[in-house]
Amino acid sequence: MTRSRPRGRRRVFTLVNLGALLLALGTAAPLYWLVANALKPGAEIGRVPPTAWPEDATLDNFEDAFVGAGFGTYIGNSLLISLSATVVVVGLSTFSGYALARLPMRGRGPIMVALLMISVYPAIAVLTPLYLAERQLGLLNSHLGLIIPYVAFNLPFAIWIMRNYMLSVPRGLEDAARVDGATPTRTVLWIILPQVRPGLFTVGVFTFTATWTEFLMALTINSQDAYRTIPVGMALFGTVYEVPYGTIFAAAVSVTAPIAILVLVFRRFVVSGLTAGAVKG
Amino acid sequence: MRMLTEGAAVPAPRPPGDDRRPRAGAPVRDHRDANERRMARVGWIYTMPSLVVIAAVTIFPILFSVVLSFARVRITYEGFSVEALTLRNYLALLNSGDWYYAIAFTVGYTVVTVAVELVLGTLAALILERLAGARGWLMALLLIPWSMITVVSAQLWSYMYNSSYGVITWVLEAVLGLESAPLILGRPLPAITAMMVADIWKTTPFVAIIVLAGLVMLPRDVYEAAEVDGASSWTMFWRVTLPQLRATIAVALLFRVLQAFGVFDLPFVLTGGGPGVATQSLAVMGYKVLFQDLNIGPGAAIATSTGLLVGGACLLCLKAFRSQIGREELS
Amino acid sequence: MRLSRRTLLRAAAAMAATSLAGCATGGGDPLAGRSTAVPEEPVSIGWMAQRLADNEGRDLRRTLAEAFQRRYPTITVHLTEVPPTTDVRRTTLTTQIASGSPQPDVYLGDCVWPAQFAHNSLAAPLGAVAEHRRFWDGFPEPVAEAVRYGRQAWAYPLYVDYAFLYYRADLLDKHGLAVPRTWEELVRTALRLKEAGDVRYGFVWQAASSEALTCNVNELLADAGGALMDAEARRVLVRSDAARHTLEFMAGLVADGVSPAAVGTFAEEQAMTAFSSGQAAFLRNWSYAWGAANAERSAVRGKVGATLRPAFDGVGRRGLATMGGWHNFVNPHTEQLGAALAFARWMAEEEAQTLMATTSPYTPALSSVLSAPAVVGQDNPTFRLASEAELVLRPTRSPYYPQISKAVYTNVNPIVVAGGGDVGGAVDAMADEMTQARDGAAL
Repeated sequence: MTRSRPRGRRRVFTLVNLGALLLALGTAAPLYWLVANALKPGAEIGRVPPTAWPEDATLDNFEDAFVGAGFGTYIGNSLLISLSATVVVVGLSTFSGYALARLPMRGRGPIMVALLMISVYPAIAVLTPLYLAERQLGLLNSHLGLIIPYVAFNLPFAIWIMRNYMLSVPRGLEDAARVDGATPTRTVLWIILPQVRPGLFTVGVFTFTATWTEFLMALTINSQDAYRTIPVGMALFGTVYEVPYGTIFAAAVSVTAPIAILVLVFRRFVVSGLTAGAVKG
Repeated sequence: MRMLTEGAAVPAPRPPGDDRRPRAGAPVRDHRDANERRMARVGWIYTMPSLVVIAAVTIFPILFSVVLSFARVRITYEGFSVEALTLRNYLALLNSGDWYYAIAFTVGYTVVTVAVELVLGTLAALILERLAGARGWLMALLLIPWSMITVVSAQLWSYMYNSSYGVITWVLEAVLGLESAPLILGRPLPAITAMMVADIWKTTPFVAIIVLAGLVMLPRDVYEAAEVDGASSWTMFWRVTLPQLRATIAVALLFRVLQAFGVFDLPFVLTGGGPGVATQSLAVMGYKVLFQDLNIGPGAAIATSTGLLVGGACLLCLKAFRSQIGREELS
Repeated sequence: MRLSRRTLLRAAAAMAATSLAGCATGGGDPLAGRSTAVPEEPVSIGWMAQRLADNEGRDLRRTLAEAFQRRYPTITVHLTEVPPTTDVRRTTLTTQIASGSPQPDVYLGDCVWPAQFAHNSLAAPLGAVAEHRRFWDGFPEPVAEAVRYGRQAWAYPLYVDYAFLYYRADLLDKHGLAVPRTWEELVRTALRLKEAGDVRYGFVWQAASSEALTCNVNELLADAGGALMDAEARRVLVRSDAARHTLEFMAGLVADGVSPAAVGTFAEEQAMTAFSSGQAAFLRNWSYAWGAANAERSAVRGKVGATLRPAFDGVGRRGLATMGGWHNFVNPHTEQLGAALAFARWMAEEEAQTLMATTSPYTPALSSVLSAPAVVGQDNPTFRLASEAELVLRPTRSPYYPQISKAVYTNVNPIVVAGGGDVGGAVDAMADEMTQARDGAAL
């Protein structure tokens, strides 16, 4: 945004720079502390006054996290559960979104409103019956036991987003396909899908992030060590006398860094994804 | 705005085929109806799997939770048993000071954090918009807290607040010279404030990015007209930018309110709801009653009443949106 | 998709079935028809227990597991780590065991859990107490009483925690003061040491709005001749002059400057820190505090004494102590019932108890071991004091004990923090809420 008045512009400019600096510092300081302490040995983590820079930098904490504490298992569980849920959600929401955007079904409006209401319903309110049902079916403490609710809870929002993307696809494409004698499923897969690739990406990012960070359901449904996801493993780690922050932070850096790098690389898509659901359509 | 306005503006079912472009030289009517029915069937086939999953895992449990909230439930060796239908669970709720406190805390927490995040987020968005060179980098930095697992950031903050070696404690004590070790998480008001700070740090970027998207899409000609009128940048913000951002901000607001209302991860890790029940949100309380005390009936009553509160708030929001959108379309 | 649809139907059917079956499915004996014999083929079991450090700083859990394996070579014991706080641990255990998980086979649990866990089918019954008199008579009566719910025992004791009074022996010597035997004496002595400028606080204890406060109220109330509830946790007895005196005394400690208002935020850890950093003259805490006060990082190392808790002048005896401690429970869903029972029981028997008592700071539950000269005569005075103290139980026989305890600490905490207030009103509110909690009508 360039302004035509040079004087006002210069003044705003310094203010903006100062604000940006504060913003960057405020955001980065805790992140720096996370990384710095992941590199400190146990004794230095508890030192008062705290050392601003790790004096005795070490990778021991990382070794503890993956060899001793089994964070590798948690990461494996999280990856398996989040990726499965994401794939299923993207698949189901593509077809549902197309149907709700284009096909002449009765009651599409009420369905869309109901989906919106469900997507905001608090998880705690369905947790008990879900827990009891899964207990009865023997699904507690299993990967499937978490994938199913994750799919169900992320589908409504995903369907909304996919439908909005589908609405923006020019109708002529489908008509042409129909004239060529393509079945509806072929039309969706070969004609529509390539047009809504950003939508797929948005739904994927959203579902993956939501399931990757979800805590309440994971804590309740998969409390057994072998099936814990990353957030549960992190929250329940520690002993009565001390919380081993070094190990936790090493694990935290290990799970945050890949996501942060992905976000950095794909930031344009992430931002458009974040805003697509809300702003565009 | 499309996605929410659609929901608000189109509550009634559209007549079938209403959004289909009438085709030139349509074949005979019978044929078209048959084709339409066929396509509707395909639509249901496409939609059914999703609807079944959603119904099975959300709608059915929501209803069952309502039933449980009127029941006496016990865990047995074989599973669980529903023993009697009763109003006791809700009476217990109404008798519990903790429940009123949890509602007050959750609402207060939501209002304060969301308000601060909206102000800071809008400021951050304005800064980002004007920033030329480093904009991409700053945005990427802001996205890191947003993409972090809440449990991870809660652990980080609990370390920084630690009463014996936390860096924030040290700053308060040694640098600012506050008397005695400040027990940040040990006393109600500081603990609540500390929790809000952690929340604001993590979620302001989310608001900033949504608002920024709205800012970028504002039509330029309005600014140019205002500048011709000689408006200062301050007036311009209040008179031109903010009103046009209203819809975008409203979306951010809705998302954040709903999220903040269900706050669980942060208090669970940071304070465990303590000291006492000072940071016990409705979700934490529900979780404790349900799974710590296995007090399933009353827990279901908490869950159901929370659901009703959120549902009611959401309906109110939708109504407000609808009327607002109506106004904007008129003007 | 087929799966989800089928899943839904099965869930619906299962829920309908259990709803109809109602009580019929509850209350059965989970061990009926299962072998409790020690297996002959090699098996392994999981034990969930927090780290227990012995006198050399080694892990007592491993020592116990290894000694057990020498005795029962077919059984291997694996350790499972536990979450940091008691509450989170309880939640993890309840969700896990209520889910039907066979792991952990044995878990170390708080001595207040038997009724709650029995009520919710989270522990296996270990036989009627009356039918195993010989075994249970070996424990102090309160210990054996605390594991019973109904007729059955639900846990095998491992170690017992006693509350004692810790004091700065160096400061008492310096001023020629005696170790206080009554609360009135303690108040005078504490104020003198505080006024002399030797300490910042006179007496630190635990009044945070948590279980720790209930423990303090429970024993102080017993000192004053009262009780929270009767032995079966059926009648609420707290509406009494003794309770009003107790609360007034607690508030007075703060109002008179004997204790800082910050005790209202203190749990065990914070009180311990205040004492071991040299800020306080007296400390009420559990047996472990002896080790903590004499640890390398403690500022009061070697300057500390421990004694029985005082009595009120002219009322009752000295040395009452709320009972704490940790017991071994058996998971009702364990797949290795025989091995799990053998391990849990072995830890309550003489061999394990002696091993623990002679190599670690944990007070043994078994009376014969506690009174053995080799145990009582150790440097650590808490063993001798434990053999002289009298345990006071909390009303843990109620399956709603957590809610009862909450009624206690939420009503007492504000009185302590403010150093006074409507004590009578607080006692009445506490009694009402405890009654509600007892009936299962509180959250």
